Amino acid sequence: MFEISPSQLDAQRYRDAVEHQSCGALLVFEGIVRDNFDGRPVRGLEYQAYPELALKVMEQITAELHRTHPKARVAMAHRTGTLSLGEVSMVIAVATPHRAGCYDASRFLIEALKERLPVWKKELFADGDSHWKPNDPETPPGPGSA
Amino acid sequence: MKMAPIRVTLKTFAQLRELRGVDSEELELASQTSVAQLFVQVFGTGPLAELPVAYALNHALVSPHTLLSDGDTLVLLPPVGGG
Repeated sequence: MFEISPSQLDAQRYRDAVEHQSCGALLVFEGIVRDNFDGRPVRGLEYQAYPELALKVMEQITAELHRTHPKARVAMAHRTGTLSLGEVSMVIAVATPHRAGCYDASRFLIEALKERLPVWKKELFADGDSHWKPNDPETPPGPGSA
Repeated sequence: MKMAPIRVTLKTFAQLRELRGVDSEELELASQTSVAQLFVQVFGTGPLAELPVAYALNHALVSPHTLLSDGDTLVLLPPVGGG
């Protein structure tokens, strides 16, 4: 299940989508709007997304994960619109047969999405200023890497 | 022989969208225009030319040298910030 949604994300939906009797491990990652950026007070975030490509990217990243974790079950969603502090901006649910693969898969998925998902974030500062903030370029860990 | 101009739909996001003031617009261009040339025509050669933009043509990522065709939809993707 892959979604780009203007509505509040319910993490339980994505958890339920990946739960399976073959999987003994399940992790749900939630990205949450926090109250500052490097100590500067933030009142919220605005997200824009390019859904036609974003859903393809989610599928591609999952296919890459399946090369090393073929039994992983994945559900992902990202919000759009203006979010207040504490709102969930992203959910990644993953279930695998064993715990090591589950932590590995969850970390791979979040790093790959932050690098490649066509979504843009505007930081809305408490003082009224705002700016579009790209993610820091990082080399994401590959599935199976240390 | 002069080639007929082409019409292309341009979509932008984030700071590029704010500069254009619209989500989407129709542009008339010379035939044989590449996606990178379109960017320069629209945003110029100033500081924005340094922005590492990616290009999606008809919803698939393409290289900057890709030539546009009549009826194409081009999306300009500034550096992403999801999560």
